[in-house]
Amino acid sequence: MGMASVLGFALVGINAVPVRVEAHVRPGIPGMTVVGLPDAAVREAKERVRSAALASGCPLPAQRTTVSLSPGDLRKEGSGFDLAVALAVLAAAGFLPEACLRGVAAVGELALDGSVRGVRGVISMAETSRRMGVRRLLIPTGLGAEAAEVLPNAACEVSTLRHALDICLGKVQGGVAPPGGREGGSVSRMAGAVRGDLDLADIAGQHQAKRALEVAAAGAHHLLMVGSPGSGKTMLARRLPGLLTPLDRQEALDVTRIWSAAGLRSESEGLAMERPFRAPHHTISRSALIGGGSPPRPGEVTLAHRGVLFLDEAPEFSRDALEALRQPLEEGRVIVGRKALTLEFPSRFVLVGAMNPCPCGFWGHPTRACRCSAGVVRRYQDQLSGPLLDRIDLVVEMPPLSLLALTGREAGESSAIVQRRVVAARAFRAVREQAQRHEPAGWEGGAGGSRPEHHPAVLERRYQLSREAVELLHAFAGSNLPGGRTYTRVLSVSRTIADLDQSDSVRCEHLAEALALRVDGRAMWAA
Amino acid sequence: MGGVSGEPDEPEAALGLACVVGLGSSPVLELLRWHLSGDIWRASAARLERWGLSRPVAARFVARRRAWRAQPVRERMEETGVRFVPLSELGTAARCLAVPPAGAFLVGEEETWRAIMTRPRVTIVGTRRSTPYGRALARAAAGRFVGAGVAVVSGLAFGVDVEAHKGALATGGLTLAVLGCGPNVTYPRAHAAIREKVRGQGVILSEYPPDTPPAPWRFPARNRIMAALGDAVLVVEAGERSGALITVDEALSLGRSVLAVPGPLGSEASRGCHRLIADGAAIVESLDLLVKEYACRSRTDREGRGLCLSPSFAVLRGTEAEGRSGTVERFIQEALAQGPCSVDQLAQAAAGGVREVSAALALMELRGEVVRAGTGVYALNPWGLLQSRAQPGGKVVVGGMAWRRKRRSG
Repeated sequence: MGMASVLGFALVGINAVPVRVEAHVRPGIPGMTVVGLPDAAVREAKERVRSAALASGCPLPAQRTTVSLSPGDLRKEGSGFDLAVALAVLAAAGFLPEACLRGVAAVGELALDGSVRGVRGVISMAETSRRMGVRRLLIPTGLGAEAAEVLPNAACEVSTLRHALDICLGKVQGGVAPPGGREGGSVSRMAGAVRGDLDLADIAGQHQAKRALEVAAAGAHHLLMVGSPGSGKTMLARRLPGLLTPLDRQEALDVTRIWSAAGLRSESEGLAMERPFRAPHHTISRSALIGGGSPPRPGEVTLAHRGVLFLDEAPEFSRDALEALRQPLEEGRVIVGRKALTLEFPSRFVLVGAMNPCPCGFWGHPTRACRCSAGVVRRYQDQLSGPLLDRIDLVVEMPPLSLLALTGREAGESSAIVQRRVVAARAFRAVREQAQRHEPAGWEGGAGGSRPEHHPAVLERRYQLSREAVELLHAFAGSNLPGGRTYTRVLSVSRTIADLDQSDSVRCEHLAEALALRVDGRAMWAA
Repeated sequence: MGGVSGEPDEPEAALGLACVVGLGSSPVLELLRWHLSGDIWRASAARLERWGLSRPVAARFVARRRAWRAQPVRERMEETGVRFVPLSELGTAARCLAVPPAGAFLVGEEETWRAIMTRPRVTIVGTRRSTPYGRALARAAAGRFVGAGVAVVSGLAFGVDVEAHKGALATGGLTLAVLGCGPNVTYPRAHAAIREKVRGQGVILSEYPPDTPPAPWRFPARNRIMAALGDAVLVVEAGERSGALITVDEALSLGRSVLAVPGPLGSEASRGCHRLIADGAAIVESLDLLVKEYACRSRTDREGRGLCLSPSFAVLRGTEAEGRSGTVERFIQEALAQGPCSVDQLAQAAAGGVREVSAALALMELRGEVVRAGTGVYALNPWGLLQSRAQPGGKVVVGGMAWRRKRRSG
């Protein structure tokens, strides 16, 4: 009898790939066959579709039904095809003119009573729809805000299969306006996106560490905090997202896409407003950290994209996991290869590592005795020295706080104030780099901008060191024989500090402060 | 040391002597220890022989003297901006040399020259193959001396010499460069820029007439003049056979004190210094005591020239920008003298913010003045052989790094 097709989407990594869902209803032994590499969840769609159709008042005919998912060589997974399958079958069965499905895409899982449930990755699907010129995208209720960000007028929330049919038939007006009805106004909405419950002012003392955090935020530098238990490492790290510049629209889209694809967002949130903060436990496996599985799913580094990845107890992470961090730290992306396909996930984040100076945590403590032998301490600290330390720009040692310092404290600066300086520094940097006719080194990318060129001469010219600063740099280079990485990292940190000062040239004091926060591969942090 | 000291030499005769015998007839110059240049210039061959010259030397000198004309030399000096001062203006010590110079050709301001000669002076010498340690130290030491009102004499050679000049120039002090070639000749060429600075702020001096090219044998000869012009000699780094040791010998024969800076154990560049110390040279244990040591041992007081010994004077000098961070550093030093402190504690106690304090600490750590004594805690370097402050303009003095680093990572 009839043939009909509608567009659905398969989620590959974090991107949506269009899948044409075709249905053919013809005489024969009653039954439904799904072809086109469906996984078990997709194959089960036929039972859900049959019940939902019945509940919607459109019982499927007792005929032979074939559903084909094209392209046929792409493995399809999940329950997101239910709605598309149902629409295609119903159109093929004559409940719906086939023309009504032209230019329509549908995603959603069907319940047996015909209601439509949410799926992962709706924003990616909306983006793909826009690229393909889809006229109408049917999505489950609650996800409209997310989809409307990229597809303002074509996205329709549907609550039931019946609702979907009515929209296709033109009986009901669909379409969701973007929240607030504005385009590109997200930034202003997000300006106050500092988490109210996580303010820098809550933390007593540790002014140097706070300053390091500010520098890290301003320059998207990776940071390592070394200190005894209770010195406030975790508290500080949690406050870093609130110091970074507010997400701009593009960044918000990136974050939303990833989180949506990972199924970590609650419904009806719209765009992400806060920078992600991910703090995986140190027992995490390599593939959970950088992404993996089959089909590959984004890992923690990708979930932390445009935000902060916090590795508490950094030396406790498996060597394997730490080694795997090289690529994301250096390139801002990870490539996960599996038998069937190879995927690339973005992973630009600010890494914050925290570690005790030794396994017991009291190495270098003024009052507590450390019970680790020197060899143990060295081995512990060496865990980090290779792959990770090379890519960390800032190290701050945090002395333990006395009870006195905790109680008799002066009010520190709030996150909002520091964030304002960070925003100003980035703006200054953007202007400066424009003036220098340099590639604005990944700053439109925000957190974890791309690594600058490493040649010292380039750095000196680009970073505009004052004459005294060059001399200081030479004195440092001459005395400490730093490796190339240390050298360039000190330079780039000093540039960031100068930006925070709104200073065109890197002066001596900027460089000196960068030197105070340098990583120089020393094995023993304390003493 | 006859009856000639105190009487002025005749400039014309001295110039003639400098031009005629500057080219190697040292027996004639030896006469200057006992006779005024005018007398030598006019003495007959017979009288010269009576004074001790051999007949051929005397005859050759008389012949050259007759052939010499002042006019071309004067013109050339005019062109190149070179002045001549006779031996009597080089200080009493110059006449006490085994072979005194007839006088000196100068480039530089007249006033600067007078200022230098009325000040206490120190000669800083060392190897050309210096290490960063030696260079930093030469610089720092020169700065300290200048801070105490002492002029720095050195030779504008590579290594320690030029760093001493730089240190003096950077602190805005007076410096005197003694060359082994004509005063208008740039040697080594790489030092053209620093040479210009010395000429602007100090004086360049040479025993040799303008346009005299450098020659290997002229440099040891120049060293004796350096020794005579300083009230004491500071040897920063010297290998076992360094030319700096010639200066030391000359200085010792003049009764000058020699101060030597010890180097890291096993450093080739410091062997000469260590030998000197073993032989009884004054050891320089810290830059803070350097000027005091110098004052005790040099003869400046007897010659009636003032020396400013207040340590605060040396500290307070310098540019304004340096003054600020210098204050923070001084504060840190005082605070750490009470015991180890964290950055926060220091920042809290100091008026300055955590930024200034951590920047200052980084510089001080770089110079080896402070060490990390725990997680985020700093202490004064207990092995602090060298304790020096930053030079103006943010220049950093670094010392004794190698073994200190080892100590920290061990």
